[in-house]
Order: sequence, then structure tokens, then C-alpha cells
Amino acid sequence: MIFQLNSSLLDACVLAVLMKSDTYGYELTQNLKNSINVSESTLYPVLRRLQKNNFLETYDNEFQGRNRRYYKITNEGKKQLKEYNEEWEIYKNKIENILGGSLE
Amino acid sequence: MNKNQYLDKLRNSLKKLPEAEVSNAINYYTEYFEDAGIENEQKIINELGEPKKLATVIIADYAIKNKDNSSKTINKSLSTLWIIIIAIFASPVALPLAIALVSIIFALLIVVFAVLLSFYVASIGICIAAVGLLIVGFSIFTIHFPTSLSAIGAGLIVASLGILLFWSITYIAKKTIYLIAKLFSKVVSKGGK
Repeated sequence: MIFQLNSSLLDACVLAVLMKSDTYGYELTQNLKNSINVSESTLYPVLRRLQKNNFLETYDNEFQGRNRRYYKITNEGKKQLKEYNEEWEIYKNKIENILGGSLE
Repeated sequence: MNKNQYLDKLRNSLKKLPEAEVSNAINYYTEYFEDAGIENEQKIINELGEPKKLATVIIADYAIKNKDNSSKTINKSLSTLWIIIIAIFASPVALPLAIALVSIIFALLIVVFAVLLSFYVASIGICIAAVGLLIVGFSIFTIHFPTSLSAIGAGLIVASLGILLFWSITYIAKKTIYLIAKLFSKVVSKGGK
């Protein structure tokens, strides 16, 4: 992919994945890596930022005798995701307008 | 470089951050390596890049977050400081001004109430006059009938005028008090904010 994701879009993508189900760092990265070009190192700061903003919370589960930290979207995070979705719709339409050549 | 060496280097590069931030990041990447499995260890190390570079990204993000917060609090305390300074310098002017303003409002209130009271007294006076006229009218009923009749008639007219004035003044007084109360509550609530 030649287009770069900015940090707001990354936040939106992470929240959207978490909306479906709680997940842990590795799984989240692999899921997103399959469709967009995030590197292994991109997501930690994103998750930390979202957590600090109370858009997601964490809980620890034991897995094969070790700890695994799960990320869960909060109500505030759901609100934020809704806002991102609306903003994205507007932005997407504007870009499509330009790329489709219908811009006067 | 194996996983443990990588994490050690990362921890070293994150030294500038608070302990909680460092352990959070190290825990995350420790878990990450474990979830990826030993067979993917080298691949992950290659993809994550130099520990120093990874640390820079983490530190940068932390710095941005905290810069937003700290600048806000500084601005807030600065503006409070300014308000206090302005208040101190303005107090020699503001205090007499406030006293004058309060006196003017007080004087206006007294004037309004005095006018209302005088109308009240006048209406009561008119009613008393009407009663007097009626008494006179009735007392001379047998002595001089036409005079008595005109006195009673005048007394009734005056009585109706007095009652009319009394009622309208009561109405106006109620409205005025309500308006003043409303104005005061507005001023007080604004001052409270």
C-alpha cells in the first residue's frame, strides 16, 4: 500500500478491531498487518495512547502459564469510534469526489 | 541478538521514562515475543528494528501526550495569576466603583418603593374621603335631601376611584417586585459564574 495511515486513522482501525472482540497485542498486530501496512512497532504507542485516553482498558488472562494482556474497548472508545466513522465517511467522500474527477 | 538481549537494550534506551511506562512497554514486547513463538523470534527482531529506534518512537509518543497536558495546566495557572494581579491593581478603582453602583441601585429601589407607597397612601386617603362624604351624605339625609344625595353620589364616585387606584397600584407593585427579584437573581447568578 502506498498511502500512509495517520495516527487518527490508526486509532480508528484499532478501535474498530476491538469493537468486534477483545484481543491481545500480537493478534491485533497480525490482524491489522494482513490488510494495512503497519509495522510490528507501530501499535504499542497507539494502544498506550488509546488506553491513556480511556478509549480502551486492559485485563490480564493466563495463557499457558504466562500472562497475556487483553485490550477491551470502553464506552468512551465506542463513542470515539462512532465519531471516527462519521468523520471518515465525510473524508472518504471528499477524496472520491476529487479522484473521480467530479470536482469543479 | 536474541529476545532477552533485545528487551534489555530496549529497557536501557527507555531509561528516561518513568518506571511505570518502561515496565508497561517491556511487558508488552515480552508478551509479543512469547505470542509470536520462538520460531518467529528473529523475524520479529528484524521487523521491530533497532531497540534504540523503537525506544525513540515510544519516548516521542509519551512526550507528545505529556506536552499537551503540561502546557494546558501552565496556561491555566498563568491565567489565574493574571486575574489575581489585575484584581489587585484594579481594587482601588473597582472597590469605590462597586460601592457607588450598589448605592445607586439601593437609591433607585428606595425611589421606586417610595413612589409606590405614596400612591398607596393617596388611594387610602381617597377611600377615607369617600367614607367621609358618605357619612356626611347620610347624616344630612333628613335635613337637606338634594345636598345629601349629591354628597352620597360624590362619595360613591370617589370611593370607586380610590378602589380602582388601590387595585392598580397593588398590581403594579406586584409586577415591580417580581421584576426586581428577577433582575437580582440574574445578576447574582452571573456573578456566581
